[in-house]
This record gives sequence, structure tokens and C-alpha cells, in this order.
Amino acid sequence: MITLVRHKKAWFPAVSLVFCYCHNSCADWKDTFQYHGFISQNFVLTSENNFYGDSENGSFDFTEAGFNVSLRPLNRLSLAAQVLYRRAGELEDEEVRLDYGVLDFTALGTTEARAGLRLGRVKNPLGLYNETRDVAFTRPSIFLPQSIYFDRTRNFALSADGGQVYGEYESSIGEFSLRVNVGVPTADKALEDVLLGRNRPGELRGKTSYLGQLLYEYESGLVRLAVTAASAHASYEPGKNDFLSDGDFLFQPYIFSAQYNGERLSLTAEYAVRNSDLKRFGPLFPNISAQSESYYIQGAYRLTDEIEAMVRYDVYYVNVHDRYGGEFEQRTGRPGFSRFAKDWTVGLRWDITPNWMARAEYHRVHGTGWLAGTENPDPRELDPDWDLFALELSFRF
Amino acid sequence: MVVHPNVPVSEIGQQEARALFAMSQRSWQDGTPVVVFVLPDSSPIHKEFCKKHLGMFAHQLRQTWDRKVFSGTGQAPEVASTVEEMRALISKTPGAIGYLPEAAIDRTVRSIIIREGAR
Repeated sequence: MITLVRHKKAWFPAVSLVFCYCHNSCADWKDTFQYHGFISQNFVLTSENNFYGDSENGSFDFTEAGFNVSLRPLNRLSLAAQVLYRRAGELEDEEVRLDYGVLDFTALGTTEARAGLRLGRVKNPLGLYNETRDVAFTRPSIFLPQSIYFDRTRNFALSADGGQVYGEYESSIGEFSLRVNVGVPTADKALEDVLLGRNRPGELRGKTSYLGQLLYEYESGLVRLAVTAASAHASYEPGKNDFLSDGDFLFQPYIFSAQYNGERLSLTAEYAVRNSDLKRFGPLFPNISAQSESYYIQGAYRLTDEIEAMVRYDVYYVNVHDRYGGEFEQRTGRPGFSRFAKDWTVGLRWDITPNWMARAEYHRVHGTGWLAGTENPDPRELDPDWDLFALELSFRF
Repeated sequence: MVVHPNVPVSEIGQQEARALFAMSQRSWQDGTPVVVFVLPDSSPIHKEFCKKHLGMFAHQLRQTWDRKVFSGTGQAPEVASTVEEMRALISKTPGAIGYLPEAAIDRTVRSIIIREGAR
């Protein structure tokens, strides 16, 4: 099913007003118009368990495409919007959505310091890769490290409808930037499935959420260090004949990121802890409070300008107080290995031309912690030791 | 490094040059919008310019542009396919900045200096 997320209607009068205003004062605003896009087709094959479609039999059910436009009608004002198409097996419904739609006011713009405000649907700078996670060219691999960049609950973390205040300062020791987002996240059926076990009669709705990221860059990105903290909220509106009551979900991730980008070698590591709380869903759904932990270490080496090899070790624990799921298995009868995952990945990237890129990667995974229930409905059929092989072809303009 | 003759600077620090080519600094001191021109990523002149004059790698710059373009937080520079096209575009675009090999610089554009290390 294709769902088209509606554009914010209130924008159009504002946009046309800006255009009329600057029609005479800046004759060349049209020259600032840009459009870019990408399309990626992937193939996924797993030895056991399903990821992005019926991957045990080989799945082509993973396609991503995006198209964006941007314009700077005034020196201090710019507009940008991107539409994203995504097909992702049974992880979520096939959809076309507004990925971002931003009105950006630069309040301050000097050589050393910049500050401003972005309004609209703003991407969340969560860790190093979240903002452009769907653009294959910007990712280090076909699949981002799933311990931190879950694909099964991606939309909740992806963007927020609201605003972002940003500030950048270039000091003699490097550049510091701070971004703070306030807005309402997308709470979809995929999130409902992960949180409440399956699609329930009622509906989860995003509530005002907060995110902040402080980033330090040395020598224009030779070294990048970031700390991200967020507090995301959603609440449940019960449906008819629903045994759940109007509960709340609170999600608080803290992510620490470090990256080195040399001429040939890049090293990246991220560590995250997340607290999640499910409260007040009624007598039949006990309160759940869990702390999960994730980290990965990744190295990439540019053998030539066109060929890059990567290796990564990625670890995820759903609950730090029950890392290998022993208690969980006793309590629920479901396998303990579904509460963690350790993933070794090796991959190759080939930049055929500046516009075309191909990739191949292999994962050896122990544990099924980040697989989705929608793709693997029967927990008894899960296998704790599995292999994943994937191919990608991507085009950009 | 060369600019359109109306650009109000004669020399800039390496840090400012980076901010300009990274598409972070979007206007000159007098408020004129900056228009950045580059050669394709694969061009040896582009690679050398990044490494020698900006002190960064072409792939770092590409990452920075892609992050901006695909997250809605900025724009990419204009790409000129040849040195001649770069010169022609800079000469007719107010606020333009780019780079050219010494031999390709003529009176239609103005050459400016990057102060090494300084701001």
C-alpha cells in the first residue's frame, strides 16, 4: 500500500510570498534552485531468518529512492524538501513520504559563527548517519549497523515535525556545532509492533520530543566527535474493544560517536545506551522499563579512488540486565538469543562513476536481537547463527 | 583560487576557504551571496586543490556536501565540467569563487591568495 504523507498546506502561501517579495530585489534567486536525487536497488540473501523480505529465498524487496529540491530566495532564507520512496520487505509498508521539508532562516552568518532556525519537518541528527541513512552513497555499508540504526523502528527516530535551532562556531582548534530539535516524531505501525507486540486496535501518536547534538570537527572532518541525547515520546489512543489503556512510551537514547577520516583510512566507533519505558497500558500489559546497549567499531580503507573495503563488528543487547536473554526465555518461553546480536560485517564498495556505485557485503550474525517480528512471526523458527549476503546498485544525480 | 571581480576580498585564511568550499559560509562580508564552483570529484585539479590549498581530502568534501544536500541543511556547489567553463562561469557570476590553474587565469576573473594556516 502506498501512503502519501500530506504536505503542510500552510507553507505554500508563505513560499509564494517570499517569491513575490524577492522577485525584483534579487533577480538571480532562480539560479539558486537545485535538485538532486538517488535510487538504490538491493538484493538480500540469508541462510536463515528473514530481513528485508523473503531473504531466505533471495529478496529484491528493498528499494530506496529520493528526490529533493532546494532554493535560496534570500541570502538569509533557504527552502529544501525531499520526497522518499521506500520498499522494505515486511519491515514496513511500502510508502512515499515527505522526508524533510524545511524553511531555514540564518540569523547570524559571519566567517567564524553561524546560527539560525529551521522550521518544518526536520531530520534528526542522531549519531553520525541518521540524517542521510536512506542515501546509499552516504552510508558506510548497505545496512547501517543495526544495533544503533534499527531499520525496524526507523521512522520514529528519523525526523520530527517542528523546528531546529542550530549554531556553528569555528575556533582555532576546530569547529563546534550544536543542534537542538523540538518536534513531533512519526509513530507508525512498525513501532507499534515492536513496542506492543503486534498491531493493536488503537493508535500510537508521537508527542513533543527533544533532541540535541553537539559535534566537534577537527580540520574540517579529519576527526569528528559527537554526543547526541534525545527524549522521544509517544502515547497510545485505545481503539474499540481494546484491552490496552492510554499508555505512554518514553525513549531516551544517548549516543557517543567518534570518527577519523584519513586520506585512505577511515575509522568509526559509536556507543549508545537507550532507556525505554512503557507505562500505564492497563492491568493486562505490565509496565516495562529497559536499558539497551549498542556499539560498533568500523574500519574502511580506500584501496584506490574507486574501491573501498570495510570491516565492522556490531553488538546489541536489548536489556543490559539480561544481556543473553536467560531470564527473558524463562519468563516468556521465547528464545534468549532474540535479545542480543553480534554482527561481523565485511564489504566492498565500487564507485563505478561519480553517479553509479555498487556494493557487496557479507554478515555473520550471532543472535537475532534486531530482526523484526513482522518478518519472522514465529519465534520458534528463528535461528541464532545466520549469514547475510547483500548486493546494492545505486545511482545519484 | 579565483573569484568574480566584484568579490570584496583579496586574500582569505585557509579556515575561511574551507568554510566557503564546504558550503557553510554562504555570504561575503558585504552580504553578497557566495556561489561556489568546483570541477568534478574525479578531476586531478580538484583533488590537488582540496589537498594542497584546503588541507582536506576530496572525499571529505563530498561527504560534507552530501550530508547537507540529503538532510535539507544546505546545498551543493555548482560543478563546471572543464577549466574553461569554470573561468567563464566565475567571470559572469557575481559573488562567485572557484579555482583555476595559474595558466588559465586571465583578466575576466581575479586571483586571490589563501593565507596558509591562518584564519
